[in-house]
Amino acid sequence: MFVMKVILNTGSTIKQGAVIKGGKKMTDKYKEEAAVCHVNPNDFRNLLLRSDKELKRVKVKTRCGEVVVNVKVDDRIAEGHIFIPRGPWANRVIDAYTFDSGSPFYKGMDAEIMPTDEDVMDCRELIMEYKEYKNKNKKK
Amino acid sequence: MIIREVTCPVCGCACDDIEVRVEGNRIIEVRNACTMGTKKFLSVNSENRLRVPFMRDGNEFIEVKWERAIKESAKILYESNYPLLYGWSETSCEAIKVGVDIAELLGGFIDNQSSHCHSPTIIAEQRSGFPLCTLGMAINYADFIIYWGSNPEESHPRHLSHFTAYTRGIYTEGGRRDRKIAVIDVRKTKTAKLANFFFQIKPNSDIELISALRVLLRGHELNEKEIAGLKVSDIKKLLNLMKGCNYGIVFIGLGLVSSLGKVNNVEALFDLIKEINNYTRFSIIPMRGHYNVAGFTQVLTWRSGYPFAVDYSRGYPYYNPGETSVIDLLCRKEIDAMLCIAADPVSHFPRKAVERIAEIPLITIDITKTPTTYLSDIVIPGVICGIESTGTYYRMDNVPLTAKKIIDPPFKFVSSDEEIMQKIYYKIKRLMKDEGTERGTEGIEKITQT
Repeated sequence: MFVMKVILNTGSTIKQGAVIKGGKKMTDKYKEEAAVCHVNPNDFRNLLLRSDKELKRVKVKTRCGEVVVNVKVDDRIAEGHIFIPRGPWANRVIDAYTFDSGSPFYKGMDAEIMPTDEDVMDCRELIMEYKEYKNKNKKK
Repeated sequence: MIIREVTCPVCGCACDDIEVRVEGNRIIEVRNACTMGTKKFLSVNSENRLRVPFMRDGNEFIEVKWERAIKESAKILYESNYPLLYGWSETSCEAIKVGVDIAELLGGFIDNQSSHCHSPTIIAEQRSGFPLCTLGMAINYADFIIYWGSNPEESHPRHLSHFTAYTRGIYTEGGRRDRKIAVIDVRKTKTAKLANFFFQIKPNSDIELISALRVLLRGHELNEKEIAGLKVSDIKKLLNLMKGCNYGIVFIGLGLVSSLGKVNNVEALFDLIKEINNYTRFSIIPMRGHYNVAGFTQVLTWRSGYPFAVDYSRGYPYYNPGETSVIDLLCRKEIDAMLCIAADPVSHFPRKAVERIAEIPLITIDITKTPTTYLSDIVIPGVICGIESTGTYYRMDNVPLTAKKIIDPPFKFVSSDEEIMQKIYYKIKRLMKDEGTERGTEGIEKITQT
């Protein structure tokens, strides 16, 4: 499968901010705004050439995990970079190592993206996964 | 009824010119606020607002009485060995003060959002000194403004119109015409589109650019053609802009702080700014995210001597970022219970840290349903400081502001987050007294006496 090496940045966007400040984290709006990967138009074209069908979702993979998110073409992003708004989706692939500063690797992490047919997880599904983890490993 | 000059409880700008129209106990209209501010003010009416405490029963949540929620929370904290009290950025300084008391009483950890956001800035402040000024200087004096790794158009929407580019001050009567804005970032952000100059650098190369600027500032030449993705001529242009202005301010964001190099990036920038002060006035303001994230640093420094990530388990405050900071504590699985107030770690922590949160008993005090409340064992509704209760908060430039109360909270049991924390504090004291495990601490009693 075609894999593109990129640099991953995460951060705030105004729409994501409006959703979380308005207390709408558990609605579909959050998924719409935060489960999105902003890609440079040229990189998008390259990905599109290598995928069999229309390109709607990508899998973002780092040394810490992987997550499926929607693709959005954004000419403000430089070639070879991707941007995912901060939120539970971005944080599935962020390295928790803090370089002795307390602050994890939110910006400038190495990542790979690839076209995928898998669905984007809901916020609820993400929590369910942690919940199952909770039930399994709950401290007695 | 229209209430004027309300302080906004959202981002670090803490805009103090919001107008709110209130009818009965509902907020009908919000003026002057940004999208985020408006949404937060209106969220008090929404169905997502928590109004009663909940407790987990298997996979279900059951509604419980306030007394029981407080009692069970105190019990969880009292019975744990190393509890962590995390959050605090969206509540009042008064509540934080009681939080520090609880951490001291229990011998636990206390930390907040700055631990995983601007912690490198705070560490660099301690290492190298802090060339800070207030936002008043930005309004009245600054004619050159740099946004370095920050994007206020998305994260602090009124920053440009309220404090920098579009305001008129004593020496900046021309408004936007009198000021030059530069943006240094890895992508062409919305702020970059509004700026006079945009310097697009390579990711994780901030420190190279800062070092190059320092070399040029000291009168040496650079042999390279390109540094950090910028031509040397562009770097010279940036330096001349910095040296040539009357008053410059750099607003640093997580683009600089959270990239590779972390503390070293910020420390190098602080040193550069100190050297530029040989030529002209220049300062730095960190773009703090939440409205009271700076307040936590103030209160904790006042109480313990350290700005964040404080460990009271030794009986005295101990601070070592990387060891006692929240992400590291969770990843090393050291803490065994967590109280989370006004924060959503499940959304904003890396996965490895969240997995530990899922394993341990979790108490959440929050105003709306979030992914964290769904993982909690006890959920207590919080009071929105600045809307439903008064309180003190510190703006991003460490200026304290007093928040107004506009409407009543949707419950009668408590009137502020401070009161919730006090109730938990006294419950823990009671448990300690009953079981004869009291420790000597200077708690709230002593502080209220002084």
